[in-house]
Amino acid sequence: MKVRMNRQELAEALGAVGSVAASRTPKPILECTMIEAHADHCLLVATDLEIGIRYTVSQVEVDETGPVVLKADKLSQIVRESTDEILEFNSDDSICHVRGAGAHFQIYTQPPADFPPVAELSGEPDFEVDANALRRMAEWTVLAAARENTRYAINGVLWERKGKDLTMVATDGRRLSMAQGKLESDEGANLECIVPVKTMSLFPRILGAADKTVAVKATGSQLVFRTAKATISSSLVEGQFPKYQDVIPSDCDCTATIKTADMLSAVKRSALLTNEESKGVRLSFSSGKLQLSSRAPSQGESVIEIPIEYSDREIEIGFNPTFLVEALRAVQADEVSLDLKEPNRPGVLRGDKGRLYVVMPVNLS
Amino acid sequence: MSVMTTAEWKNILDRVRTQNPALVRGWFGGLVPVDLCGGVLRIRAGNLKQVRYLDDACGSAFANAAQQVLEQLVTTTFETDAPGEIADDDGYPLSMSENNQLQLNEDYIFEHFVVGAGNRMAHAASVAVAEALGQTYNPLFIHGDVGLGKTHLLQAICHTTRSLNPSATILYISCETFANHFIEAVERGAMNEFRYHYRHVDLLVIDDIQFLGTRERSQEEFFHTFNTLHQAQKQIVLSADCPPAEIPTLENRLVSRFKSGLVAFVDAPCMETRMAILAKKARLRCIEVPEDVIEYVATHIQTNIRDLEGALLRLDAMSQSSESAIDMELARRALDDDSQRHAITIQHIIDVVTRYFGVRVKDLQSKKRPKSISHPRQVCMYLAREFTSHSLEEVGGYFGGRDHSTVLHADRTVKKMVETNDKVRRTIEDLRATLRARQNGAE
Repeated sequence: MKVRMNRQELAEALGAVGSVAASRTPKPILECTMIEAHADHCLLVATDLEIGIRYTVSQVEVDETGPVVLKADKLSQIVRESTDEILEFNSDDSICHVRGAGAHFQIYTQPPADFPPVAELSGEPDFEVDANALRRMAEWTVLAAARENTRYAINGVLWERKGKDLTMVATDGRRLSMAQGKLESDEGANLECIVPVKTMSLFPRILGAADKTVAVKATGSQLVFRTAKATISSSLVEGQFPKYQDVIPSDCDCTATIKTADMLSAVKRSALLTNEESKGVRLSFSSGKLQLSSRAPSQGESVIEIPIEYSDREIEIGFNPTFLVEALRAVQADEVSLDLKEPNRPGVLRGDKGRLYVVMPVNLS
Repeated sequence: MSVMTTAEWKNILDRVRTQNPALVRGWFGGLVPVDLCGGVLRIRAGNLKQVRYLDDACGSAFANAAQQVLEQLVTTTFETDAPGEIADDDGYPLSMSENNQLQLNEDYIFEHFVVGAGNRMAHAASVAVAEALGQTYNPLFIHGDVGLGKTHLLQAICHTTRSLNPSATILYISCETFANHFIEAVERGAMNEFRYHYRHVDLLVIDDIQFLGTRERSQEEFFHTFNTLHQAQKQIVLSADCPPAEIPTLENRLVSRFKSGLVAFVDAPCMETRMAILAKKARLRCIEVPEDVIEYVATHIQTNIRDLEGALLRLDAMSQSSESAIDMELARRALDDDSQRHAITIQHIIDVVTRYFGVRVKDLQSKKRPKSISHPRQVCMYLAREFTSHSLEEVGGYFGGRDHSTVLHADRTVKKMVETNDKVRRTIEDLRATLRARQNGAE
């Protein structure tokens, strides 16, 4: 193949594709990106066998079509470090020549025939989601998703589509985040599946201004998404997602309304004097105010007070400050509400519409 | 797959018990955490009925407790590996087949049956029948007193048949159901359906067949059902509280047919068997019972297995409510109420009274009527009325076949003497104290 590509666009594409390619694998081909030169565009393809991505680069001049397979990270580094506006790719049997102004890289390639197939979205999608909504739902849920499999949680995000309602839920066993959104249409099949965290993390990265909607189609054991530039096919996480409705407390009788920025700042400051042993920040709610206190043995302690809207009984509860900070950062609304029941029962944080965050307290005694 | 530690699980159960005492059932001790995976704590219950109860009432109680103990956002699911009800898919109209199949108790399997001298033959016969339907003993007739394991054997036959031969049609009903169906079928004029239902099975199991004795028409219908099945070499298993010949008003042709296969007797369990039964039941319900307590309970409850099980459950309930482990102290308290009264038999009373008065048992049971013998005899009868639940006739039977009015008279006479005569009152009090001491295991 022989093709000239806009370096800027290629760098963006490689950013998305490179995050899919496997980093440590016994099969070297999975660490690669395949560039397919078509008549009027190039396709960058990568897969780790669980997730596959096909990303379109359109600002290209193709002299000769054909595929080439290159190490994803090396290619990405070359493109990033180069300063040229245009890079030229020219491949023969085993070597790909990458040329910029005064630069010439010769990179050994892998046989394209060995590259595993990556699914496309064929036929009509099951439904379409607003791209911006999907990006924000993904951001909100991913923050509570387990990064690795523990006995408490599944490292995936539950997708539940019922008619026009789309619900996403993730939990790592200590917190649970739920995002609800509306679809334009209730046509197409309902859906319930668990999407890996890695797939969910792609959406904030690849969804840009050009994206209006994302098409979704379930094909047996895979879910395929199509955005303006990319097609992502993702295997699903096996297993039964916990009955999340059972985790969301419904009997909370104490509700505090707090300014998001105040709360975030107070928790961050309070967290400065906590450590592994002291674990948490103590939140004491009383009429009109919230007092956060923390203590780090051998370092010192802190007390921070902020005004809040609160008129229920006094209650004291301990939380891991990291869990609060991560959620508060993701909230866009000016105010959040926190529902509590007992010091040993989970609290519920609500901010933006359709978002909910259940967080398990820590035992401070 | 990983399950929590025993301490964590115990803590969860304790929290459920203290936070939701109204929900707690005796069998909670038998729940087992299967695994904790993906934020779901799977808990195994003994049978479907328990699972339904837990699902309906206890989901949030267990989830809350688990969250508090594990400090994790876990939810709970309940399951059982006991199979569901026997399918009843032979097209019999629903109005009749609904609720007519007795539910099989998933605990009643051969593995849970403790074999002892009293039931060895019945057990062996049941196993043989279950493994080769209609080929070994047909019909198998099991008889014995209440609570000795007849129903357990019957249901175990059903369970084993179902697992060895899933396609076999099993009909397990009580005699009552059979009779009711018969009446219903006659009223609806649906005898063909009825006959088809009962005559196209591979295994017909009827519990408490003695109740057939009082129903003539049902007897006749059952006679034909029996013949059809027997000729087709389909297995029939029956149970009753007495041997065929002693079932009152049972037609001879049925008696002889019942006796044509194997008639197996289940006898009350001996001491060792009772201990083995207690140990097994305790293990099944995850109740920790020390060896000496098992021996104590087995010594004091000799009547039947249901009473043994009841005593075990009471121990468990008491240990949970008092938050202490099961020990001798608790066992004494637990057995110190009405179940103890059954532990005293007429034989005990006769022993104590004869020793006290220095008379011979033979004299008490003779027709002799001098006061030196009739008085102890009356005292025996009086105490027997107080400490045992035998009827007047039964008490009379122990003392040379005296009739009920004699016992009643003795009872009243002694009662009156206790009120009027200090010496007699003291005697009776002494005897009562001796009996109670024996009750509490002092002797």
